[in-house]
Amino acid sequence: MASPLPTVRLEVFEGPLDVLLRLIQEHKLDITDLSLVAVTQQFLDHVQSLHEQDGPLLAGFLRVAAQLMYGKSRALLHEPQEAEDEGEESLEEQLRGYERFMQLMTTVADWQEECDVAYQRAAKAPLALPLPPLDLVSYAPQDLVSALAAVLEEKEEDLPTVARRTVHIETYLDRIGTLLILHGKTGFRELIEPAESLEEIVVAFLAVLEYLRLRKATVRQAELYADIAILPAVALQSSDSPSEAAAADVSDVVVHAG
Amino acid sequence: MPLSLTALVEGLLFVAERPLSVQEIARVIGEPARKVRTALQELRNSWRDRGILLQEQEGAYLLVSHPDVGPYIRTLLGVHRGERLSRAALETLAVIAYYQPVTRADIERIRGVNADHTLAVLVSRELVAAGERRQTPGRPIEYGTTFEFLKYFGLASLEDLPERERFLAELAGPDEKENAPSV
Repeated sequence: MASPLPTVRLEVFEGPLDVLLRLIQEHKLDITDLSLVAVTQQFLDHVQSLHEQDGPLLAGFLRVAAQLMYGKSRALLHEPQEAEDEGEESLEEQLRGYERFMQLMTTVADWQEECDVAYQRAAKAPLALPLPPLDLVSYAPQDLVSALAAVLEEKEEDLPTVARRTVHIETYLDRIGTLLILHGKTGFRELIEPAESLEEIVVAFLAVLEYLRLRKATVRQAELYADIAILPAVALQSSDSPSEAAAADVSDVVVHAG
Repeated sequence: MPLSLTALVEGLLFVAERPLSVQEIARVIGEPARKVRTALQELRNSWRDRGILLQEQEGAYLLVSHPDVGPYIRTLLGVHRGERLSRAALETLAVIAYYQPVTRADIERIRGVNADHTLAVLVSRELVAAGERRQTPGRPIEYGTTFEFLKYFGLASLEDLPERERFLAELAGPDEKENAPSV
């Protein structure tokens, strides 16, 4: 009886019934009142080793310990087993139930290994901004046909062909150079004469800025929205009064381009 | 030719993102619940050996994938199965699954150990949900399993719990067993 108990694994689910059942099984006993009496001392020893355990678990152990002591005292006094009052389960019955439960638990444990998950249809992620629901009722598939026919009919009419056109800034750098060589000066309006799109005009302007950056040209604008005169930088450097010369040139260019 | 009631029910289950009750389906389609039940039974029979499974609990129905498709779905969606339940959680879940509705005290009586923590884990994972209060002293809350539970174990219904009959018979109550010899 006084043999030391094996170290108990203190896992959460290892409660008093676990310990009691193992004690009985270690002695190869059946679950009877008698066998419970036989392991009472060992159980009490075990409870004493539990002083650091948490409250609810310890309470459970103490309750079982009390039931064991009660049973043992009856056995010592040779008192017959009374009918359990208020229909409460005796410890023996409780332990039998627990033993059966644990036997069946092995089934459930296997079952978790063997089974797989049934998946629900993946729900569509909700839109960040809720859109008003579409009225799907008022259209029939036939409406698609007529809608497509309308589109095709429209297409037969002369629609402009949209082609992607790439404009390189080099093209306009060259054009500025050419115009300056040919005319000695030029203007922005003349520069963009061949331009076909807003983007191309922007590219032309960038080319002008590039000339300025390289100090290969200078520009003058007489007034707001007037044409921008583009002059070779060398011409300006050679002149001591560039503003006058430029002013004269600007009027020329404006007339020319206007 | 108009679709049959069975086909209409099938369509509803296909798009539903939550379990649909018989009453709800009946109201939507405008047919008596009795006919809807027949249609559901028909669907269940016709979906045998298919990649989809009709789950049922307490008169509500949910269309899910067959558990055998599970590994492929995880590959497709790039998800993992997730961690397994702990032994303690599994035990508590088993008690609830087979004996629902049960109170916390019922669980503790069978497992012989405090069930607060494991119960909280199961509730937070939505495998178990609190139901009504039992009309006994203290009015304890009764717990039962959810559709998440059925999905997790790939079950069509609680009827399909493994060895359910054996469990229920074995654990119906020690009172029914003959008394062991007393001291």
